[in-house]
Amino acid sequence: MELVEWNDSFSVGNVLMDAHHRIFFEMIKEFSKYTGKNDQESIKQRMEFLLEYAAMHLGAEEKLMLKAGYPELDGHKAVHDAFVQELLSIKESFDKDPTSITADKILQIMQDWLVTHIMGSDKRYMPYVQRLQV
Amino acid sequence: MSINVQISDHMARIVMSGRFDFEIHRDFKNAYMPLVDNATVREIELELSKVDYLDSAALGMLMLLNERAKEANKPVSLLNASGVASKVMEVANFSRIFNIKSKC
Repeated sequence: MELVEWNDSFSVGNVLMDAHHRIFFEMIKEFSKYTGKNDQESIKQRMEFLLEYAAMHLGAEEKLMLKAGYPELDGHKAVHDAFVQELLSIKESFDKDPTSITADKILQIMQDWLVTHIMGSDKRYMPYVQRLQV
Repeated sequence: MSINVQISDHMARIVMSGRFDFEIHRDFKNAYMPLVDNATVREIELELSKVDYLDSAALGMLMLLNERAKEANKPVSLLNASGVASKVMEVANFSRIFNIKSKC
């Protein structure tokens, strides 16, 4: 898969969210080294960790938007909820049958969503959160 | 990697040494969650002077700790990060997110 590196064009104007996003990309890159290895337990643990991290990040982002008085918070949260549900569904399928989807494909889905979401939805809250502290 | 937890005067210190990477993510969480849940602990410090390697998952683990501790109103400080660890953390602007301290 083609890996994405965080750069300034991904900045949403908040140090904490930028760090969260940057680390998310870095972990996808790091974990992609393991997808070729046939170690299902190792892959499963990494997927679970990414899910935990994603849920933490999305929750933190929602708190930030609330604090900033972002008017589109409800719609943004609905997009987050749908993504978490998608990830849970993928994880369930992977747990039941590891051949149903490749780990590489899961990382690709996460990375694609992250890029699209940051550049689309997240950028819209940028003016609201820019003035807030971490 | 070893993880050692010390508590004194409402301050918890997690002393890490060796490689801080994905392989210890469960042990790390098992070390900090009781501190986050412990009402007598008001502040958490991570002693990193003996950490000689950090991967991106370690940065993710620190962010998870930071968020859980924030929910419990407990500040997290990173102490004595070594050259390598310090450089890795600075890439993600950790000095603007965590309280970074150098002390014995």
